[in-house]
Amino acid sequence: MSENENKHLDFVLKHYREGKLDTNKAISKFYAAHGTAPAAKPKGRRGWIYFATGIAAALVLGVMIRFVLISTAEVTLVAQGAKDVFLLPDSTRVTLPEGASLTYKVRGFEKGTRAVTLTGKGYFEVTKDLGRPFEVTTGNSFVRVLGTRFLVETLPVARVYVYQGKVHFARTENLEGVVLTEGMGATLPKGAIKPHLDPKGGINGIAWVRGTFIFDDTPLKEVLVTIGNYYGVSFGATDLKKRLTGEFSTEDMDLIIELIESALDVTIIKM
Amino acid sequence: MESLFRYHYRPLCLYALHYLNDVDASEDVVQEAFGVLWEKLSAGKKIVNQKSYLYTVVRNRCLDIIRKGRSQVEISQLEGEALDILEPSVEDSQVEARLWTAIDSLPDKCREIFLMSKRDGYKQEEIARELGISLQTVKNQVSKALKILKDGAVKIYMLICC
Repeated sequence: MSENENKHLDFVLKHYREGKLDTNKAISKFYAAHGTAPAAKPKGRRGWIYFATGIAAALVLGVMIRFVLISTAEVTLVAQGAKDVFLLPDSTRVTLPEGASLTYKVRGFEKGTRAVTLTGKGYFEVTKDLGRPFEVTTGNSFVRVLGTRFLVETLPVARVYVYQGKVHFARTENLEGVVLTEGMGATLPKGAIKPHLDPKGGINGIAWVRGTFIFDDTPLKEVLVTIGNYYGVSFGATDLKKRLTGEFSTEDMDLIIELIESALDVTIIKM
Repeated sequence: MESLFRYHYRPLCLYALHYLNDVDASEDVVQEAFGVLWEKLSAGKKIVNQKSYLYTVVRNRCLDIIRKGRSQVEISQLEGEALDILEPSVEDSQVEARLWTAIDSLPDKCREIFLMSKRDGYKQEEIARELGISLQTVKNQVSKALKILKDGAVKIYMLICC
């Protein structure tokens, strides 16, 4: 070890005590002190209950208001954690990354079409209800489904990727669109009227939802592009033709890189 | 907020540790810093570089604590002895956080022997006698630990440099 490394190690050793500097404990302590439940983690139990309570309250409110006004009560859900999972009144599950938001009219979920407006990106697991389509409108796209799992992105361009079931994807409600089934994706570039098929994204498009990257005999080059896009960095490696199979947690980029290096016996550098 | 914790909690604690030399006090200061950031964000303030904001808050808090501690010392003792702490660097703290994590992840037995040897200053013969294992085992475990830690440290250096 170099002198510098020894200096660091000595410093760490001098203070090292087992069980100290526990990040998870620190996060729990923080949430306890600041009164915000860590939505969706661990397994989102607490956040769900809070949210369910919120929805219940909103529904009750919606019912009350209806007698006074023609109900226009709106609910807006904003993700505050790195990702938050929300449960809509019809049991549809929506996962939003930090900063994304979703708005819907309370009444829409009681009868008729289930319509929501999305800002940012969202992953939907829609509860099947053949009589009531589920519609997502964003600033630049329109998606209609009956019951399925799909990802909607709005930046830099509108993009939809379907993980299960069938989705109708168009610029607006009245324009011609495309029908996407499992494993299909499409983008809607600026100025285009009809979406173009584009399979990019795939299973790792929702790595942020699942918390893992999944690779199945994937060339290392592709693996590094996927991981690089996720963390906003680019990589180079000694042998890009090797192939990787496995599931990796998105928690620690350095660790994933180490694991891949030792699994494939290559050297990877960040550029 | 949670991802901020995951990325910066340990490095911030080690950064604070350079000033305070006390693990518990450092954890408190870092917890406080996240609280300050949270309040600002909740109040609608935009903070562009949240990482350096956190480091700045931690640094200022640490210096406050040191000043307060010193005011209780005889003034005469303070003369000629200004606040002469070596400023820790963010990069060093990140490397040290990485080492801390690496020690955490050593196998239990390996960590115990390593800490007895390197932190607590036991002679290798004493450790062997204390734990009822052979001297060779102690030597093997210590060098195994050093190798794991060194590999971990090298990795992080590479990533920072490139």
